[in-house]
Amino acid sequence: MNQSYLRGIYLRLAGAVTLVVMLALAANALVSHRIFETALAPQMAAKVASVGAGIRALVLRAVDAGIPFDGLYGVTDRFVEIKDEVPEVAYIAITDTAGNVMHRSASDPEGALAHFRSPDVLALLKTPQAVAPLARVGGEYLVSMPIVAGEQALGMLHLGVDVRFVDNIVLDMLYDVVVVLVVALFFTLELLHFLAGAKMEASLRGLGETFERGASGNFATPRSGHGEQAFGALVKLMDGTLARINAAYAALSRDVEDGRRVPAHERHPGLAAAQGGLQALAARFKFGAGAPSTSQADDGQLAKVRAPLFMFILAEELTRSFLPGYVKELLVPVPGVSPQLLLGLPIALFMLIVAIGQPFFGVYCERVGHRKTMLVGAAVATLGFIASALAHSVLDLLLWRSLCALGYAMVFVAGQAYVLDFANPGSRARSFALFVGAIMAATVCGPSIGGILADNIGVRPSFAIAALLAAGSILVIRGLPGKSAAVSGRTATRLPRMAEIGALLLNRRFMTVTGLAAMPAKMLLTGVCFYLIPLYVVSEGSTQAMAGRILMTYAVMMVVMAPVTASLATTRERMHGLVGGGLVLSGLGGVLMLAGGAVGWVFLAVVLVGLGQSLSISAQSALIGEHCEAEVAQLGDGVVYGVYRLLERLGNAMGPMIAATLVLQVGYRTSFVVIGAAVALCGVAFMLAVRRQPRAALAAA
Amino acid sequence: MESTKRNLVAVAVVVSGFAVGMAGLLNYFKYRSTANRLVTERLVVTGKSVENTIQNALELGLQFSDMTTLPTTLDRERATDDLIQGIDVFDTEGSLLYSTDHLRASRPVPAAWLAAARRAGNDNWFVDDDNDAAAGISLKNNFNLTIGYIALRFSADSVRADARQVAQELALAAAGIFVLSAALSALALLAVMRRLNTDVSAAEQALRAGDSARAATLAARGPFGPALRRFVETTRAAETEIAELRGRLQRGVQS
Repeated sequence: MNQSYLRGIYLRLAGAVTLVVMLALAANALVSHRIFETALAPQMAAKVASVGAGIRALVLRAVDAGIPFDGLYGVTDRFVEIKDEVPEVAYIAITDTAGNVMHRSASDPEGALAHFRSPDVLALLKTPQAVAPLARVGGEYLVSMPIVAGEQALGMLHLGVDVRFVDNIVLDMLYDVVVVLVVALFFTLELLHFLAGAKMEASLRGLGETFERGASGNFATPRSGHGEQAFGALVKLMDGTLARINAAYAALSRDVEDGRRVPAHERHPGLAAAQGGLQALAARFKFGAGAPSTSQADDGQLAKVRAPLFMFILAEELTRSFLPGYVKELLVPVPGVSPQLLLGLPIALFMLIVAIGQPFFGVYCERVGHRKTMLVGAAVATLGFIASALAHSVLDLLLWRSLCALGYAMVFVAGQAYVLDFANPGSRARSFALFVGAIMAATVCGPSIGGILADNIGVRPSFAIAALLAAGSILVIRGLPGKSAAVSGRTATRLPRMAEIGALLLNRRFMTVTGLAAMPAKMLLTGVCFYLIPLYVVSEGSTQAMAGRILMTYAVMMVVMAPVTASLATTRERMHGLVGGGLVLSGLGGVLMLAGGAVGWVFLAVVLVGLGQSLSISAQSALIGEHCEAEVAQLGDGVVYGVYRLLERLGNAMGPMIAATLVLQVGYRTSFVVIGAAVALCGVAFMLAVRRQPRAALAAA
Repeated sequence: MESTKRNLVAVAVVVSGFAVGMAGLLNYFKYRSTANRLVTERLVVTGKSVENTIQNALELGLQFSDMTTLPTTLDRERATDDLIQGIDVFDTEGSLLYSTDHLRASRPVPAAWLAAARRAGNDNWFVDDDNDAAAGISLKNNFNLTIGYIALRFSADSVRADARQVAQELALAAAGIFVLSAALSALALLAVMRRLNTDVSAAEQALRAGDSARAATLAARGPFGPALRRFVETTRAAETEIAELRGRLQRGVQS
């Protein structure tokens, strides 16, 4: 009841806010349209007047050369050329001194002839250098200019601009406004969770527990009451009912006990029946004092980590769409290293540091605690973002991005450990959904907003905003508990030994999942999405905001599809199908670029990549447990999954370098295709390998 | 519940602030980029005219650095648009060759111009600088090689004053929309929460109902129905049994 009911409330709350925000954005577009119209129409008129001055000069030169004004030829052809050069000019006409049209580029706007013949317009013939104020005629703004040779008035030149030019400016922003709306929706959900959701969830869980206690006949009074709750009155009422029954039973027991203390011959015959009834009640129901529930407190603590995680990851994701472009701006020649490789280096180094650093930071986190690790990590990353904003060249940027990577690895590991420590063993998967949810929400919001910011305020200020977000996360991290909760059933983190890594690297079943599925999937993600797309989209004349929107599409696909596909991964065979099929599908995303190089194709490619990755991502890690039961039993799941994550993240680091090498050799589009085809082949190879493989249970035996 | 309501109002304020603020920011930057583009294109129209004159002279065999009639053309073109403060022609190294402002002839062109011109390649370029705001185009010879650049200086103050005015109007509009949006979304959130309150009240009513049949009927209405019905049935059964036992005991004591 709790989860579906809570989800219903969440959806209604988020829907209400989204609807109002949508209306607000529409109102904003309407108001800004009016402001733009007022402010830009005179500027457009001035531009059109400049164009008109050129046409007028041409006409006057022709007349000066002896061609009669009413005998000008090739005028319409010139009008066509001008419309090509200045697309905003929708209409050009030359009229005589009476306002009759002599040459026109298109059909006259409604009311144009009356306007040309109006005394106000014809009066301009007396002031040769004057330009008439902008006049709205039919569906166009008209600018009229007199054509006067010396003292002789020849006629008038009229240029029209479609009044919808402001519509086009506002429509141009439509994509960005939609992005703002999507991001606002995710912000709403995060904020609801941060400010109200955790408490509501805890209250609902408390309510559910009380319902369950009553329904199952557990009337034992808990030793501690519920704290402040959203449904305090109802819970109090139910607790009161349970306590009343508990007290009635206790009173009855006392009375029966008192009755038994009298001599046997004085006892009432009904006492035995009452005593029997009491025993029957005690067998069916539970009375007395109950143990306090710890789950509520722990879940409350657990939810606290989501907000700082979201803020921190958002800071890093913000840079995703503009980082490669920024690196390109800061490129300096480095002997022996191609510019393409240098472009990929900051991303690859970041991923490498995160991959290698995580096992070490896991041990560090266990020693100093989550909060301290997260605080140090966020502070280091903040410094990294500030320094990145001030970077001189790609070389110092590498250093600053390394700081960001160190900080990212520390916060990520500490966040993960926090969830593990505060989650109830029975609900660890649900608790991890909270962790993954924060990351995915940041992945949706970050690149798109980052792209918009970079396009409008510049890359360096956008890095400064990332630094502000990371610094902001420090404030929220300070609210986390200092000491970790008592950890039950979790073994201490340790670094995998070289021998263990070696054994797993040589293990065919482990490497089938890791080498053929997990690593290629990550290479595709970082190589295509983080390296190729931001660079390619901008190289095609599009914007960083567009790159951000495309990356947002990937994240949205993951958010929408991952829960659906995770629910499909119920059997081993299905997991194989999902992983193999997902790899093939995401690989086809890259291959799709063979069809065309336009940005629309990149969008479609990313949709396929997102869909493919969402199919395979949940099943991949689950398959490790399925395929390597014996290894998990022998080495422990910490070591097996640790090595799996390490290799997977090394795939992250290799992606940009592979993409950079390919770009150097074959260019952007073919690089998409090559990486895609390779990943699709890995998918096919994976399917073949698992078909031939014996089941893990047999292998273990 | 009160603190939850306060938090929901905070959510409404923050989300509305973010969305309307971002939209306002986008509007302002869109205006600024459009206004700058219009100014650039307006100036470039004049620049193209100068370019045509230079191209004609080059085709006649004149040296780029030796066009004696060009200063007159520049003066004439400058007069065609009151936004233009001056026109400068300079070579690819940044040496000024011709200018409508004779005092500038001895000075090198601003580094920002040269950088912007080189970066733009064949495109128009625009520099929005306090003292040296300019738009420009590149000049090519018959072999399509860049031989220099034309810069049209303009007063950035008037462009900035317009932008400030628009920024104020947009900010005012955004502030109004934000207040409305925050208020409306807060009300909408509280309305959703009111429904939750109704569900809870129904459950409370069911618990307070005297007999279990009525309680079960009342409980079945809300979303807590099944859970509440089981709660009511079990607690009523236990209470009834305890009451019966107590009655039996008391009857025995009395007799």
